[in-house]
Amino acid sequence: MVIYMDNAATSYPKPEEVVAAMNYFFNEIGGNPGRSGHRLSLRSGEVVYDTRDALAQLFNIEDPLQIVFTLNATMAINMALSGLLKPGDHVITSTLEHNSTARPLRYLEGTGVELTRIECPAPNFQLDLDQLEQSICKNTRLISILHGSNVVGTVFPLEEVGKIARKHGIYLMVDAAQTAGAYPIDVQKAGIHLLAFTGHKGLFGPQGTGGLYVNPELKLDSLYRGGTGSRSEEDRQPEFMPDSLESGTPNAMGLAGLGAGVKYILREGLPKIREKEIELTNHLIKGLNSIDGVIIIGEEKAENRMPLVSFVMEGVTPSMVGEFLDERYDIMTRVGLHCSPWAHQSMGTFPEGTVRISLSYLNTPSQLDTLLQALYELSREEVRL
Amino acid sequence: MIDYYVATFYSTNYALKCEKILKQSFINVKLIPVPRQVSSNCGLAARMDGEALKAFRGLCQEGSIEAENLYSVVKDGKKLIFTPLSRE
Ligand SMILES: Cc1ncc(COP(=O)(O)O)c(C=O)c1O
Repeated sequence: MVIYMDNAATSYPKPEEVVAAMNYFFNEIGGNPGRSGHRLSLRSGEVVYDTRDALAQLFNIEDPLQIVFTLNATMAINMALSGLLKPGDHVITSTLEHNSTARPLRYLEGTGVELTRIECPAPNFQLDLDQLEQSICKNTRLISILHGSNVVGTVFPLEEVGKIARKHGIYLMVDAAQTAGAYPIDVQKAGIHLLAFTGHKGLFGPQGTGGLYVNPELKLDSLYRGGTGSRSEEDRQPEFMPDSLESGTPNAMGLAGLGAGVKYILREGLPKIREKEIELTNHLIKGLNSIDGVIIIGEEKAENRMPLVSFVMEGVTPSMVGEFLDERYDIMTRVGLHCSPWAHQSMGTFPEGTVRISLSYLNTPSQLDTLLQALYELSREEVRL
Repeated sequence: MIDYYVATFYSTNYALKCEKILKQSFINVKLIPVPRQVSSNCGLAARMDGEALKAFRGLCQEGSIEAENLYSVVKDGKKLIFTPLSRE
């Protein structure tokens, strides 16, 4: 049995009902959602709507139709940034961003969008809120930040950022790829205008699912246009949500699984999920700190971080640690730069990167003990690499 | 004699939202393909009886659902006759 500790890349295993819902869709439903009027198309549409509804409940979104489904967080982020920012606009972001924000922003910078990156200083790698507020100027349109870091695990204080955005009349876009499903998010309370999420991590859905919440105040230009199953007599894209941004047949079978994942989370309850993840994280941090030569990156406490720890080991490269854990102990981790050169540059771990252990609600303390024992043996050079 | 009522929507997504909200309030509607007589859309419409129509209009006024048009339907032999109604 493998021990899977790469949940920040994608969660595994998934709750049983996720697989069951996809299986049921595949065998019993199968129709194209919202395209035809027959029973199977209708049921497919109901499944997709049900998933929208469950997500709206999870994120406290008033109208489920303000959620657009995408393939992943990356597509949602691109949709939001390119759909909103115009040459001459100023956007503020953080130095911890994943490449799925960094690259679209660098691209837009080339088209005349101004970009400011806010430092997240050691040892906690928290967003510098004073610097953030001071960076706001006349043409600032958007603050675009992640919620939880995929590299150091830091969770940014969304409500504080939301207050700053509101005070200055600018939009707030949040990349919740890491936190959705694992950390409470309330778009109304935090004042979030755009929320990008991916289905295959904390939400326990399959790969190829994700989405973007768009506040009704906002109108985004669509990256692409096409069939929506609505207004078929017209050759112009409809203006209403979600159709305006959701052309083409969605991944309905995947969304059936995502819906089951979200319902699983709603049923278990986020407080319970959070509590277990904090316990696991404390266990992991304590264990790692007791191993000679292990240096944890980032001192943020478990309450303000995702269940994820990055570390380096003196004298052993991250890639060797990863290989050793995989081959000798069947433990899956992710080493290197985690698609996040900005973050590793600001942490001083570029270009070697780190070893990242990322947990989920479904990991166990005994799996952690196996990991810690393995690292202990490695540190004692009791094993030959 | 009116046989039933039909509501059309801006899009299938609105129809699905409406169906879910009505079901939660135990109001009986059935989603059907949009009748060709009222629209060339390939989407869905809701079919309901007089009692459901009352509740439906209530929810439209409240703003929790949105319909594009409402019709009463009368069967005349093989033909269906659709008459537009006000949404309120
Ligand atoms: C912070 C962050 N943003 C965005 C992404 C991209 O997610 P996806 O690959 O599902 O588009 C990830 C995960 O890889 C992430 O950790």
